[in-house]
Amino acid sequence: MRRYLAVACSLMVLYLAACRSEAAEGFTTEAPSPTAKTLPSAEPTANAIAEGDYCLGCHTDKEQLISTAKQEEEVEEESKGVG
Amino acid sequence: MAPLEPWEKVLVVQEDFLGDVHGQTQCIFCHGGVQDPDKETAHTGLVADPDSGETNICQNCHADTDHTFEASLHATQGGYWTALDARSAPEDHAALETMFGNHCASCHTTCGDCHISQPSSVGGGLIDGHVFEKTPSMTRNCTACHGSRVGNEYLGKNEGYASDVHFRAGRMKCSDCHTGDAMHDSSGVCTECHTTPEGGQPISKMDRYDGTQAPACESCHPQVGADGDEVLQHTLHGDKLSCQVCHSLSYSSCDGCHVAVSEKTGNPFFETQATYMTFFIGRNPDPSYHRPYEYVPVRHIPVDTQSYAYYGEDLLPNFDALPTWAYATPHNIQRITPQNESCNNCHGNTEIFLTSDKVKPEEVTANRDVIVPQVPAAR
Repeated sequence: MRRYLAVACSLMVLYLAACRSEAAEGFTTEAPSPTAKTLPSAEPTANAIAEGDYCLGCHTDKEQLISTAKQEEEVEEESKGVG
Repeated sequence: MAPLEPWEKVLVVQEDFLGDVHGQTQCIFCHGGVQDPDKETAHTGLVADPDSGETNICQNCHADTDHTFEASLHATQGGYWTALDARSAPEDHAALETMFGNHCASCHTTCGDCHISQPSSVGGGLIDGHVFEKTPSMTRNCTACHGSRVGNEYLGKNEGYASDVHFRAGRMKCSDCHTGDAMHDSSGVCTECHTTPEGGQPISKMDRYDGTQAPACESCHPQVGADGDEVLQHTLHGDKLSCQVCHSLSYSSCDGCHVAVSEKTGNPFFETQATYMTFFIGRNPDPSYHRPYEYVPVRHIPVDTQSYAYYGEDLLPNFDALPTWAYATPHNIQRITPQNESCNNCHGNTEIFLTSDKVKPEEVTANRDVIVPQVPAAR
């Protein structure tokens, strides 16, 4: 009897494992595409955001900012005295 | 203040910024633009200052603060208009508005000018990698705008004059006295703690000396003038003198600021004729319940009848409506000053009172309420 129960339990475990696998295949793992007003629901790590964010990708890269920054036109100071 | 390099102004410190609650949303939520690897495309529709004008994004979460801030003196620069309105006539206002837009409006303050970036009037640029600072930096925000007078006084940058004791001994920052509540609200929230007499006038705050004193020296020094005050001078003088009459050093005054637009570059510019150190005690031109003093320090402000002549003839027809020696609260407070070392350093000392001989003849009428007709007699 004990041997019969052990075999039955093993078969049940195998069956449930197979069900879980089928269910997982039914889900998509793709994240929804971001929109301008999408707010991340969980606290993301620094790297997680930067990888998909072109703004931060550039604005956290000092060398890239130096190479792409427009030089500001030097404005001749015409004011005199204390402002 | 040394200007920042163009790249420095927009460098975001990722770890710090993303650790802030404001870093939990995408850049384009506040700044617009497009998520794209190409710079020009990414910057399409970019809003560099999303906290100004109709796009003010801060109000989405900070509605209470934003609501009062919109009407505050930092936002409206109402103090300038109080003076301009008093000295001009309605028909001059269009020309003065043009002048104001060219020369004064750049000092208008946004949320970001205090909490994210250096003010645009000094070239802008992120203070700390786009981290939102609850308390503004004293030197990179406050004195970036309030530098030539208050900043120099407080930090001891006027040669030969000590820094303010609150800075020197207490290392106090501007925000230790000038609280966030007061900076965000000029409408009189202070009256919640400082009561006015029944039927007292509502606080309109059309300039910084309207209404309740906030901050007031007595908030931290309540023993002054109270029962048991061991300093006899406090009891003797009572409310006749503002605290600064006895406790401030000399401060800078300026003459004749004239503004124009350059024919060469098209840029607005100013020229101030003179800047010099003064300490003069004048009469309080507008005593009130909150500022009942008979005497206050007065500072010459850089206005004359021709200050705005570039924009039209005689734009200040009521020039005499306000004094050119204005009520001042110098920020170089000391316990011991030259004038409070003995009674007769002040009493009978004509040198430190604003008497008519120290006022330009063409400004005597404007200063009639400030000029001291008779110096208090020596003791």
